[in-house]
Amino acid sequence: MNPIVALFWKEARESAYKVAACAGLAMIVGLVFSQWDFAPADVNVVSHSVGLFGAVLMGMDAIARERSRMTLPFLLCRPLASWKILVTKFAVGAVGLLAVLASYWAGVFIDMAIDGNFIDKLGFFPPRSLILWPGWQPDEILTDVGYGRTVLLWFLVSLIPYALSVLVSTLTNHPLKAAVTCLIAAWVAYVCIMIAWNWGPPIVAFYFRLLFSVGVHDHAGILRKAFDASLLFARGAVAVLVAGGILALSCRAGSEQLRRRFQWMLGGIALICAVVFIGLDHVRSPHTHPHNRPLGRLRYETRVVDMALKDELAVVLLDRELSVVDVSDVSAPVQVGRVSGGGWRLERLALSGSRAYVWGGFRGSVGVAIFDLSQPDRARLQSKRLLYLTEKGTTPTLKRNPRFVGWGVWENHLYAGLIRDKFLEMHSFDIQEGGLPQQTQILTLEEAAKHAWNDEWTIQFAGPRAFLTLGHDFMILDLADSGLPSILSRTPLRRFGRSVRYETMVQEFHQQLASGEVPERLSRIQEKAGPRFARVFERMMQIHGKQAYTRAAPPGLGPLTVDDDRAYVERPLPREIAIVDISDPRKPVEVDYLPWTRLPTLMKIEGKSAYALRGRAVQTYSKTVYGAYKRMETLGLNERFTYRLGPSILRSDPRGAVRGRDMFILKGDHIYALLNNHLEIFENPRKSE
Amino acid sequence: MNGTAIAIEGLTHRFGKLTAVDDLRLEVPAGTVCGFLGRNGAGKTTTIQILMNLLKPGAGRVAVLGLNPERDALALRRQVGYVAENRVMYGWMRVRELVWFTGQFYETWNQARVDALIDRFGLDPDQKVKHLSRGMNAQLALALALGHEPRLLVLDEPASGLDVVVRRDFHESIIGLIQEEGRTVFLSSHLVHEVERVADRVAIIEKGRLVTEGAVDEVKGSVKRVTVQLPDGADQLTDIEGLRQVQGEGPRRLLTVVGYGEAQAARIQAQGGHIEDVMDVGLEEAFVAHVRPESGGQP
Repeated sequence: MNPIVALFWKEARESAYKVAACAGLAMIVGLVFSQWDFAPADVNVVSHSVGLFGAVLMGMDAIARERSRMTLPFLLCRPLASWKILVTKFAVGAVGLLAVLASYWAGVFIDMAIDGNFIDKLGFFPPRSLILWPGWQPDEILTDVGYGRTVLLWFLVSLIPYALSVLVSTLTNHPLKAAVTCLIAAWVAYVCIMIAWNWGPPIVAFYFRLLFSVGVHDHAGILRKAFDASLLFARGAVAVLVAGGILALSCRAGSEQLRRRFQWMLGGIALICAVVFIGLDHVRSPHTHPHNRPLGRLRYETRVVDMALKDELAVVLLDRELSVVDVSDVSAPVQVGRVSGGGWRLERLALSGSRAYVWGGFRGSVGVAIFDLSQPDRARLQSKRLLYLTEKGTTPTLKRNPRFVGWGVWENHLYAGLIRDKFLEMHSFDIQEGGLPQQTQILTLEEAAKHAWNDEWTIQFAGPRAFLTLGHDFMILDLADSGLPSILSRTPLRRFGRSVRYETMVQEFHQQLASGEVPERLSRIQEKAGPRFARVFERMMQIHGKQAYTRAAPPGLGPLTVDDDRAYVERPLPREIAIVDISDPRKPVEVDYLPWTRLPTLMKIEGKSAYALRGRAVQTYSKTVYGAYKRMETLGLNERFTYRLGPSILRSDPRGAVRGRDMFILKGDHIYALLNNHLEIFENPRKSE
Repeated sequence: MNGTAIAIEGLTHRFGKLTAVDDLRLEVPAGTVCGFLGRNGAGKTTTIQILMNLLKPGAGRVAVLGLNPERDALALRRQVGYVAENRVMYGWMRVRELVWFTGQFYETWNQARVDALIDRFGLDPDQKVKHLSRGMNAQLALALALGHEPRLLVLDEPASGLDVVVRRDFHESIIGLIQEEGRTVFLSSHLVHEVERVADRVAIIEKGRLVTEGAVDEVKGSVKRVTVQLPDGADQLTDIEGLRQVQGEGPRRLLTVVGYGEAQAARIQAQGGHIEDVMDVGLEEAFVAHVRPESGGQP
């Protein structure tokens, strides 16, 4: 006689199909999602959802199913304490949940094993037994976390929603009702947690993060800690305590008579929590706070494209015009001059002396337009010149029309980073006073196609230096020698070794191209096609090569920003911002990194404060004692924005799509921002830091 | 066996504003088969659920086999076999599996006896429970409820939904099984006719209150059918205590009277009525007479 074993057997038999189906689905999800993107964040974010849905699916049947098919009295009239029944059911569901998470992560690991680039995708190294790609050896390992501990950690995190769903299941009379209620309850809990997390005291936020966050992207630093035995234990203890508490509540609530009372009680608590927290969110929301209003504002009826500041003037580039704004009184910016770009579409602006240089173009051809700003109220288009022409009768191609990456001015030269003929080049132009720009030098940096996966280039100009990222390398160019840019240093900022597969693919591709040798599959096609389709075949070959190439390529460095002696470079793997000491431009050294918690890609850092564009607003951040950046003020949402139901933190962009190019400049105590065809000037709320 | 199997005193239970059981008082002596009769919604199932600690009593005291269902729930369940009203069991299990599953909960499980019962009922141990007919399902539920040799068997509408033949077989099997062992059986039903064949005692409940209780013959004997010849010109008899129904036209009337005795006879005669005949009734008529509201003597 062993009632627990019998009950376990019964529960296992009843949930076997469900667990098998969920686990299979989870594995497919794992395989698919790890295929989709290089970003390690995604596998973790999806794991949250898999954990939550797994928890709801496993927990919803616990009691509600017995009740809905009326077998509950049969079970309850047996001589076994009802808490034992509930705990056994809980245990079986927990095993199911573990199976679901285990198979999800198995999917992820298997996919990575097939692909051979664990670290590129996940940021940590799985057991060697899982590596199926023979030639691949990681030469640097972030941390040896392993499959077992990953699954365990996620299981502990999912235990709380699971306990919640068991509780809901004891309170409802149908599994579907339980599932729906549980999802709503999970949403309310999530909102409350997020609000507490964001606006609670820092210590609360810190412990929350320590105990509940598991995203690799969030925590290149925390990740290591997350798998520390002690922290794993702490998380486990918290999860087990909370889940146990909820389970104890479920045992009480299981009684038929207390059920209704509990329904009212828990529903009331959830409602009060939702109202209080969403109300709190509303009251404390940066969207409703007064300091988001600009001191002064100027509205343009067309798209705004770029902006630069010079003394008391702001020069704003519109789609086809240039606007000069007097900002000596920040509370009342006045447009003093406006010049047409002579039919050109204007793209990027650089100021030098009393002239504005504008990158722009006309029907696919591109060039430079020069505006004279010596008399701001009588600004004029001085001259313009097309530098790269569209060939007549042909479609504009990358080959002919360079893709503009960025530009800047130093002394008498204008430097433009362009992708042309598949090469990344730095073009320099002599801009002696008054004259048209004369091309003086082209510095070819690297074959751009090699980095085809990396679309986000930024070149930053600061004094006589240009900073850029190229693949996994961080590069500093010297512009001091007039018109002759030279490479000062090229420093790899990888955290991981190159995957052998990538290197092999690159080599193979080049060999194939060089020797005319073609893969077997294509050669069969070639035979069938014959000489008539030679050109088609050539094209196929190119596509094949490029696909193979980009598939295997690990993501390169992203955009960067520079201040006096530091460069901040976004690194996608693991997602973080590398901080590089550039006081010696010939030998830049990575000194630290920021776990990429909330800082968006294009940010500016000044001392303890950071600024970034977020939706249609400038978001400020403050560095906490724990080294993370905490979101502070949100500047610049216009009046048309009204508060909508739901917490503001769940929306990244409250205004939806943003037109034109948003940007901002920090100058003195003010922030000048181009936000959705407005020029807005804010007081810098972080200036004291 | 001596003593009281079930003792209920002043039991009251409410569902919101609805009073399901109202100050119920009932004693079931050990070793008897007690039919618990009542119309649909009379409070039978609520009472039984309280006995089985599936519900907590609102007020009053309950003792089952001398145990308090709330405090000694587990001890009680070890000694009581219970078949719930709808008799739903795990349909996906085979009969053999369900027997094994149920047996695991009891130390006193008598596998041989259950096997014998299943054999006797003609159930196929390898059949799935969901494929059993209603009658077989009821028989299986009964076999499972008897498996742990309970001292008290509580059956909540065990025969509802069964056809007449199956019902009769089912009840006969109950009688046979139980009487040979001297267990107490507490059997709720609204099918009075069937209960009459099985029960030693009956208790009738209406709107949560106990109407009458006693040995079957006592309950039957408490109701009489009286044929009365009315005096000329009189249309009705008034003020007869316990009068439930008056049938017939003209001077000859058939009265159904609960608790018929000297007082009622005297009252009829005082109004000029001539009692022609006094008949006993079956349990079903007695039940109907008990649960029917009192009639003032109007036809």
